[in-house]
Amino acid sequence: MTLATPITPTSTFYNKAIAPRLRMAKYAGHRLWQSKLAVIGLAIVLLYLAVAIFAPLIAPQPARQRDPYEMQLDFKARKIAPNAEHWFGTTDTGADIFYGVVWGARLSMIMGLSVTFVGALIGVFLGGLAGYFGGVIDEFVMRITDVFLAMPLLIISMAVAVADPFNIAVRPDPIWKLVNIGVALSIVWWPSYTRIVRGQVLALRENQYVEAARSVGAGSFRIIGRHILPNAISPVIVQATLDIGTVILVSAALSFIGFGPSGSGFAEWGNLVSRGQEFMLQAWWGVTIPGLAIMGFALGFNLLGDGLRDLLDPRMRT
Amino acid sequence: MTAPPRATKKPRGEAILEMKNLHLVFHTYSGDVQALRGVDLTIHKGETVGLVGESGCGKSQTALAMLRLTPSPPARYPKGEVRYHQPDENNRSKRTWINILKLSQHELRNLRGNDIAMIFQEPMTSLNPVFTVGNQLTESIVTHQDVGVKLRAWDQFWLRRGFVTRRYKRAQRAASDRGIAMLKSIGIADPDKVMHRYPHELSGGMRQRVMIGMGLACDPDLLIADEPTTALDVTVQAQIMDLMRDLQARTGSAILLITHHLGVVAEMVDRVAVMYAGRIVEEAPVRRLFAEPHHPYTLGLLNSIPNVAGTSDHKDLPIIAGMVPSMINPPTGCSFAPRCPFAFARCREVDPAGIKVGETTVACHLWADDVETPQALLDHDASVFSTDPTAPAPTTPPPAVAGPTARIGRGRQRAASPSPAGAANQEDQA
Amino acid sequence: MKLWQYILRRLILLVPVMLGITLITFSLAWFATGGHLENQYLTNIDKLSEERIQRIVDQYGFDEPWYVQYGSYLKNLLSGDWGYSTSVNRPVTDVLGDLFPASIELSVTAMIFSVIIGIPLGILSATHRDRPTDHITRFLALSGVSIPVFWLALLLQLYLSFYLGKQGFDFFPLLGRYDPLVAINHPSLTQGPTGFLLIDTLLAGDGIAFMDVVRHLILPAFTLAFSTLAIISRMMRASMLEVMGLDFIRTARAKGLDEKTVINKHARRNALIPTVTVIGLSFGGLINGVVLTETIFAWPGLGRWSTRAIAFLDVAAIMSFVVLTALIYVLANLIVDVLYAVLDPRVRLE
Repeated sequence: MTLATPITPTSTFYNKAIAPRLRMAKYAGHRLWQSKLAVIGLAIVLLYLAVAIFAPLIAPQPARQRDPYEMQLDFKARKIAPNAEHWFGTTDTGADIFYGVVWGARLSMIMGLSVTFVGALIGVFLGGLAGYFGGVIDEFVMRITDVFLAMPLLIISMAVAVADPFNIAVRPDPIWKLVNIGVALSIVWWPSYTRIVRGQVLALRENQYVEAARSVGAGSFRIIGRHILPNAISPVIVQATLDIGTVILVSAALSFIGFGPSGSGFAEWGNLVSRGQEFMLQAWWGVTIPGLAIMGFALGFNLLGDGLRDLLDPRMRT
Repeated sequence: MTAPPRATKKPRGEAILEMKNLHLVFHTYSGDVQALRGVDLTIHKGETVGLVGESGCGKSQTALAMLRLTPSPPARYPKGEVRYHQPDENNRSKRTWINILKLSQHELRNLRGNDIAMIFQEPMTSLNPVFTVGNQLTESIVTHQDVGVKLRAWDQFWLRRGFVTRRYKRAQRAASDRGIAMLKSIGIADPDKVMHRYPHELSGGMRQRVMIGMGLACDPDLLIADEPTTALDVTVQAQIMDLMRDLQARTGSAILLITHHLGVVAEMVDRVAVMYAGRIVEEAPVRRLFAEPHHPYTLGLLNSIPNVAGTSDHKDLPIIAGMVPSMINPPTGCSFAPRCPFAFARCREVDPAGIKVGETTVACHLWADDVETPQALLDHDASVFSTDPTAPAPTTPPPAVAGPTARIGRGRQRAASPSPAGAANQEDQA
Repeated sequence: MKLWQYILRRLILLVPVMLGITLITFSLAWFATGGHLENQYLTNIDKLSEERIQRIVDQYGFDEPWYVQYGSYLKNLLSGDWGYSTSVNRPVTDVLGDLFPASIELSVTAMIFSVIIGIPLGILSATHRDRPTDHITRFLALSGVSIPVFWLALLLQLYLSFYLGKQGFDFFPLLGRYDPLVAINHPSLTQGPTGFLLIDTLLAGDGIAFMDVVRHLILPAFTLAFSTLAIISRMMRASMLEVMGLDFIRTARAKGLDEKTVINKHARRNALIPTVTVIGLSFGGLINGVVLTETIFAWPGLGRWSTRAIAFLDVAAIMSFVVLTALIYVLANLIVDVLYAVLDPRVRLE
């Protein structure tokens, strides 16, 4: 090939550079399919996702209800056991638990995804910084990470929720209390990602291709962004998937304790369990069913995360 | 250090281990792997046998089969037996033949480490990192020998749950003298200190010495050494080899040395067995094998040893073209046939049995009574092996196969020209 | 380096971490009270006159800049003054002394239970890989990490205590640490020397009281233990599987050792090493669980105090609780790291 022939972007080399990623993704998908548990997890997750997205269709908002999440009192329908009309029964104020669970799925899905996303974003950014630049930056970031990791999650998020630095919870609409929980969790959720990414970056930056990139003049951020992070990302994905489930467990716990929206019929799982506790001895469904929803949610993401971890763990790749 | 010259031939002792037609099959997701396909090997008292072959030919599995260390659910031994002439516990000169493959777990434990011991390739990972050298060494001794402290079922009960009783610890202390003596005889300078060290605190050579010590601690009949020096530096290799030779002379145990290093074999062993694709293809006393290789594979193997100061003027490194066949569906007939320059029709149909040619046993049709062995093979001339890895399968003219009436000798003498009857019976070539 | 040097180094590293934690709790209190820390004590603010408030502010220094207030907070912490808990109307240190034994008794019982059951379960799961035992254990472990602790507590209360009680099997009490009716005749329950009821009742030789304590302990301890047990058995299974494939296991078998000895003596020790780390980390989960479990079972411990403190906006209590739990967690991990060095001689060379 002489210099006269132009190198077009459609040359085979360029195409091959994209194709490996696609092939890898297809191969990964195939491997995932082989693990039955992971597939079950995926199915559960998709089920909850579908319920969350199609909530208005599955459990239509009653005409008299103003807010989709605040279920009305209905003294004629109090504490009805699960039957054909109320599939999951009703609460002591007459709210339909099925409705609560369905709309609660929407809130939980949003909560889980956003907290994990924000936490991972902050964590990956800080971890990449610490791992790549090392030195003072590394020490500084790791000390802060150590401090946060030294406090049990529930305790510290309780404290942040109480402190409410942005004055979110004092707003009138009960949904803001849920937002407060979300913000509190996002503030404390990043440290595990920082640790993971820092470890990966430390290992990867000694690799040859980083040297190569630097020798052609790539700047630091470019190196981190294009070379190191894509390879460090797989444990982050595993952790994020598992975390979505964990976020729900903690957020439901916070809501249960009292940080969450406490309308008598607010459609949020933690609140439902909390209200259910009050008439638990007379109606088992008030507590059992919403809790089952929470557990199912966490179970799905845990199964999926476990499957992803087995998939992405290089030692398991035989 | 050079090997002592072997002027005199040692008289061969009685056979202590006989492996007959051993087959080993692994059940895997991709299919059944035929790891061993009829291995015959006999080991005699006090002799050193070398087992050579490339990676994957089954030599390690042969050794593991002698102690039944291959985990049994994936592995099966569909055919064959491994017979061992086991000495009686109380009277060492009385021996009975047992089949190792049929032993109970209890009898197997009696055998392992006691009558037959094994040392492995990687000394770094073959020792438990959380226990001291002394702990692991005395464990061997206490398990099989009487150290003056009688262990009871109570001790065994707790040991099986992972806890060490006081009496067991006392037994280990009593055994430590023996352990220290053993370490000293292995050439370790400060045996008392070393006993208290952890494996990661020792060098590779030291660790391998400790492994050898653990293997010989109970005076085994047979010591199996699976690539003992492959993971070590060359200088340390020589030391370890000298050590093993020395110990063998003193203790009289037999050694089965497994290696892919022909140089080590030439120095250490009395007899060599060459393995290929799960079978032993040639077996001979060491000098004879090197001087007069009979099997084409052995010929190619010896030829491919780079010879810097050799008389041949090959410019390229000689190789054996082709690749080891898949063990999941091994080809019918001789497994070396696809790569053999001398292969003819029978080779692709019938798996050759071992044929005795003088002191050599070779599994090759070319040495059969009714086949005219090619001159190149008789002359041990390896130039038939091409040096071009991309060359097609070799095409030397196939050997003449005599009809039932013609009588050609055992390959050593050959008629000046092929007889007309032989030419008429020539089979088609590759 | 030697073991004590390692411990010393870790203890010294404790200091900046605790400083960071106190800084965080202080700033959280600052935000909670809108920058006026005096608000936590002024419960009847409309009944107090302006100058009264001003006098309090001057006296206790509530108008100083934040770093000065932080400094005095630290000074108070170190000298034993942890503030005044407005939800129970007592100094925090008093409350801690009272409630600490109850929480410790519950947590330690739960932890012991998790470890004693979790480790053998993990080993069992690994040695019986892919067989029914393994599948059941893995299913249980998965449930353990997916189940909300507060829901498990409620379920146990509802089904094991209440419903079984209705059928006549009232072995499991609903709430509390002991039956107040029993306590009338059995003083060891209320006046015991240590505050740890299991010990106190045994010391007094009081069998009935002891059984009462045990019965009250079972459900809450199980609730706490369940998720920790799950985590431990999962980790143990994974690390056992990894260790069993290593070379020295083959050497141990070649020496002629019993298969059980090979598993329990040689493999287990190695497999415990990463598991011990996980045990340390699961203390955090235990502390989280304590808060929820104590609240639901009305267990008179620090967890229940903390949830009341939140409802009352008892700032001093919340801050002290955060600092205390962080301290406990850090110390637990330190002990675990020391254990790690004891188990794994390779680490000691660092």
